[in-house]
Amino acid sequence: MVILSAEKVAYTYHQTPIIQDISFEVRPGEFIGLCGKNGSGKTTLLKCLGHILKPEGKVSIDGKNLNEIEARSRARIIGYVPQSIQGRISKTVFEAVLMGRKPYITWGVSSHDLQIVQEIISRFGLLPFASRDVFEISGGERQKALIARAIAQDPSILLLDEPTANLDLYHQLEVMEIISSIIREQGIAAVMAVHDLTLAMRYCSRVLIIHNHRIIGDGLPSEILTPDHIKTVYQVDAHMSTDGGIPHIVPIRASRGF
Amino acid sequence: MEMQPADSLITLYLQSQGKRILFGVVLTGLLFVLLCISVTIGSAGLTPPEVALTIVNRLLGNRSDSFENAIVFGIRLHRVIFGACAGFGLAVCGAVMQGILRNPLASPFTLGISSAAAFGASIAIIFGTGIGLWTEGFIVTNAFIFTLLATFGIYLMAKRRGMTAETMVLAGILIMYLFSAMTSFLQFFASAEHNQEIVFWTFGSLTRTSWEKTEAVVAILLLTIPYLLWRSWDINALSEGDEIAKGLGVLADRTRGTCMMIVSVITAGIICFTGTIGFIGLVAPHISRMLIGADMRYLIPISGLIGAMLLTSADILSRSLIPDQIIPVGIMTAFIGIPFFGYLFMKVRREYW
Repeated sequence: MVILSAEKVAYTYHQTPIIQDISFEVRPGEFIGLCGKNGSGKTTLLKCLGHILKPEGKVSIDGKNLNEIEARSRARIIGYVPQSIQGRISKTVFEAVLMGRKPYITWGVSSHDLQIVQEIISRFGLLPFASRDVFEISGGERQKALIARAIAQDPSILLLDEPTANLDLYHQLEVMEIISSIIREQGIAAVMAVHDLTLAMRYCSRVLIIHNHRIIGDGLPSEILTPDHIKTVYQVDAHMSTDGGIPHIVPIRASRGF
Repeated sequence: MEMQPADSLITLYLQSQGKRILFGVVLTGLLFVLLCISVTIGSAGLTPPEVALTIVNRLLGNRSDSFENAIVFGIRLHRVIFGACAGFGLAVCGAVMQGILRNPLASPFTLGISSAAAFGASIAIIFGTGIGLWTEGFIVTNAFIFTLLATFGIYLMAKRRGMTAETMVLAGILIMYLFSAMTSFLQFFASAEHNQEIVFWTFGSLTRTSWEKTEAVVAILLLTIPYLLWRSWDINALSEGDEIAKGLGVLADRTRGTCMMIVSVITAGIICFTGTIGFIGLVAPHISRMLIGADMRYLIPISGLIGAMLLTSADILSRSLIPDQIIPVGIMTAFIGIPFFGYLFMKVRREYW
C-alpha cells in the first residue's frame, strides 16, 4: 500500500530549477528523513508534496492526483508543519491546536473537536501552556504546538520542515519521540526535512538525499548516510560511530576548505 | 505556573466563548443606550421624554406631521442609525483587512481606499456643478466608483506580483499616495469655494444622511457581513501566514482577493455618503482584539459594535461640544478613540497582536 507517490516532480522558480525528476513512494509507518544541504530544495519538495506549491509532474495521495483533491479534503489527509508562524496575531496554545480541526469545522466547534484537541495537548505535554499565548512560550513549546496542530488534522501523512531546528537537546529528543510514537500507533507516515544527520540516523526508517536538485540516495539510514555520501553532498569529511547502540555522525573537517 | 487538569481545558474554552458572547450582548445594550442619548441631542430643544414619545407613537403606527416628528424622523433618527451602521461597517472592514493582510496598520484609510474616494469626490465637486449634474449624487457615485477603482488597482498590481499580504499592503500605500497627489493637484487649480467643499468632505460628516442612504448602507452590511463571518476560520488561518492557511485547506490568494473586494464595497458604500472617516477602521479592531482576542468569529461582530459605539459617541460629542455648531464627526472620532485606545494599550499587558 502506498500513501503518497511522487512521479517526476519538478519545480522551477523564475527559470531556476529547484528540484527535478523526483520520484518516490511513501508507505504507512514510514518515517522518511529528507537530507541535503541548505538550498538543495528540501523545503520546496515538502511544499510540493503538500500542494502549498504546485509542481510539474504528479503527486498522488492514495492513488488520487493531488490536483484533483479539493483543498479541504486535502487538509484532512496531509498535515504540513512549516518552520515557523508568519503572522504575529496572538492566540492561546489551545486555540492554535484547535486550528488543526479547521478542515472539519464549518463554523461551530463540536465537542468531538474539543475532545481531540484536549487529548493531543495533553499528549504533547502542553497542558501547562494551554491557556498561554503562543508567542509567550518558548520556541520549543511553540514548535510542539505546531506539530500538535498538524496531528489534530488527523492526517495520513505528516510533512515536517526541520521540526527540531532551534530546539535544545531535550526538546529535540522529545519532539522526535512524539513523532515516532504517533507514526507507530496511528500507522501514518511522515516526511521530514532534517539537517541533523544523527537524529535522522536514529529516528528515521528511511532517508532520501537530495543533491543538485535530484534524489541521489534512497534507502535505510545506515546505507545512505555514509561518509562518501556526506562528502559528496556537504563537502565534509565525517566519521561514523555507535555509542551504546545509538549511531552518530561526527563531522571532522570541511573537505573543501573555507 | 498552575497546572490545569486536562478535562478543564474544554470547560475553559467554552467559558471563554460564553464570556465573549456575553460581552457582545453588553456592548449591544450600551450601543442602544448611546443611540438613545444621541437621538435626544440637538438644537431643537426637545426633551428626552418628548423624543421617546414621538418614537413610540410612530412605532404604534400613528403618523403625524408634528414638529417633533419632523425633527426626530426627518433629521435625527436616520443620522443616528446611519452613524452606527457606518461605524460598524468601517470597523469590520479594518478587522478583516488587518487579518487577511497580517498587518496591524491596515485599514480602509491606510490602504488608499479612502484617498481614492476623496479624489472621486473632488472631481465631482469641481466639475459636477459645471455640467449641471445633480452634484450630491455625482459626488456619491464618483466617490463610490473611485473607491472600487482603487481596490481594483491594488488587486491588479497584486495579481501580477502574486497576491501576498506584503504586495497588497505596498500596492495600497502606492495607491494612497497616487490619489492624494492627484487630489492635491486638483485642489491647486480649484477655486477657493471648491477647495473649501473638498476639505469639508474629507473631514467626514454625518450631516448629509437620509433614510434612503441609511437603507442603502444597511442593505450593503446585511449582504456582506454574514459572508465575512462565514469565512471567519479562513481569515483566522490566513492571519498566521499563507503556507499555514494552505496547509489547512484555505485557498489563500482567492480568499484574500474576495475579502478585499467585499471590504472595499462596504467602505465605498459608507464613505461615499460621509466623506473620509478614517480612524475607526484602524482602531476599533485593535480595541476589540485587546478585549476579546483575535478569533474572527467574535472579532468581526465585536469590532463592529465598538466601531458603532465610537462613531455614535463621536457624533454625540460633535453635536454637543459647541452649542449650535456641528463639528464634522470625522474630527471627533480620533478625540474619542485615542484616549480609549491609549488606556487599553497601557493597561493590557499581554501581547495582543
